[in-house]
Amino acid sequence: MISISRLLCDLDAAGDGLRYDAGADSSVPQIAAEKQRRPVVVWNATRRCNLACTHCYAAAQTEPAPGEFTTAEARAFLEQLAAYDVPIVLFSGGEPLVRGDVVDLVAYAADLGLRPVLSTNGTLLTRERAVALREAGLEYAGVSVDGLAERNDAFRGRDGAFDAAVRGIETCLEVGLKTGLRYTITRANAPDLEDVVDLLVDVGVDRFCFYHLDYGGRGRDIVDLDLTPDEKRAAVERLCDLTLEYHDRGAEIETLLVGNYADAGFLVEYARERFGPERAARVSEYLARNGGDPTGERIADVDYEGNVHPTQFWQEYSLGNVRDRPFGEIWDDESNPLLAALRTREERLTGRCRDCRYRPICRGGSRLRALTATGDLFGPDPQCYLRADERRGERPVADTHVDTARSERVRNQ
Amino acid sequence: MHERPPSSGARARATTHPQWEVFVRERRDGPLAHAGSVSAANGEEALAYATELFEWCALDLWVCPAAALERASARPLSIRAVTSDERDDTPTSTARPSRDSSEVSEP
Repeated sequence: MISISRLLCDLDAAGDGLRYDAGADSSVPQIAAEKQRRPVVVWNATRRCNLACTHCYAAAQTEPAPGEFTTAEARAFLEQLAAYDVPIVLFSGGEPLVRGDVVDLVAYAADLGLRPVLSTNGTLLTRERAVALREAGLEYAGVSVDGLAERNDAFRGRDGAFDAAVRGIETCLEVGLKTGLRYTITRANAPDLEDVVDLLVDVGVDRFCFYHLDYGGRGRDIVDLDLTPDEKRAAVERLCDLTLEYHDRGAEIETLLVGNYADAGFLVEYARERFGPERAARVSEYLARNGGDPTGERIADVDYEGNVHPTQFWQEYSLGNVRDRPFGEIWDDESNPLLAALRTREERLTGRCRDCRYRPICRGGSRLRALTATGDLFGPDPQCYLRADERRGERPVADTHVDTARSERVRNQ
Repeated sequence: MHERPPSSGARARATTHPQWEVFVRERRDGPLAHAGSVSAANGEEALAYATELFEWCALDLWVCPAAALERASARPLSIRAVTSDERDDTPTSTARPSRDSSEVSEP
């Protein structure tokens, strides 16, 4: 995740310790330092879902799937994560709220010292459920809304899904459960981007996660719906503009980019253009700490059957299964050549990534997208939208010799 | 790996297909080592996908149906006794599932 609001507007947020090792600079409680070295784990607690979204990476279905963890197995799995000092477990799916034991499992995760958060379509977030989740220790609920009503419902395969999701968001706000909105951009819903951001501000939500489409699960079947790289660039630029506009008006929304680390290079360029080299240097420094695409390192996924994936989008390949071996052993086992290669990918990248000056803060973007589009695991991400002059520019990525503190003081005078 | 199976264009799709365990030999004098699993409709597609993932390092590459393997471990995912309260909430069978998901219907 790349936080536009942190990098361009200095918004302090709870995730900054994880994203930028910025906990020491923050006034917001942060993840303990020792846990920052462990991956955030997405857990597809079930494959069942009450919707049928076109882009679902988990290829969720409405019927129960064999192999789902029992409550006891789920608890044992959460114990594995706690034993490995995992900082955050993201309950996902399918739709995690179709599991009857989800509140109990959220409470158990919280008791174990895992920070439980939820990814949901929002349609099952009744007031009673939201209160129970909050009291169980749920720290955040991210609700997927992929456009305004017409486009969202077409994408999600059910009329009324948009209204139900917005009701779910409002319910979270009413009961004091932190919530945010996630939006995956495609050609089908790109025109709704600004309206969705406006909607979240109107409703009172202050966190917006902008997802690029990755090519896993059913996402692989709708590659044709993905934006062109130039369209992606325009959408990200517009989101940066919107973030600045809202902050200028006093609405301190948190905006995050997920799934395309060309965004990292773009944000440095954007900061240089809008604010000058000092801000670009700071943005670059933060993104260097962030470490680029997190696949196989700072993000892990465990599916409903217990298979461990290098990222939630890469469901077609598994590193191992937690029913056979504890999560920590699987994640630490670099005798797996693919896992080891993902962690040293910078030196293996080919094509335009090889000499890109943004390689250290991007690390080649999505390996899954490169593999799917080109058949080359180390080839360029087809959704990199940086221009050749940006990738190979002679000026430094950022002038790290600039006295950034002094320059900020001057700018603020 | 120098030879690509003829069906390399046919990709595995999500987890709606059975799983295939992947074994890779990286050195001539090295072992054939387990390197995870792929999901694919059949062995040919599984080998094609595994080839895409490992062709940069593999001398030999084998796949076999995950469901065909019998497994034992000194530290499996421990299963506590399920209380009656939990049983009411338990979403699925407590039986050790097959890793073969071929019986899973398409969404």
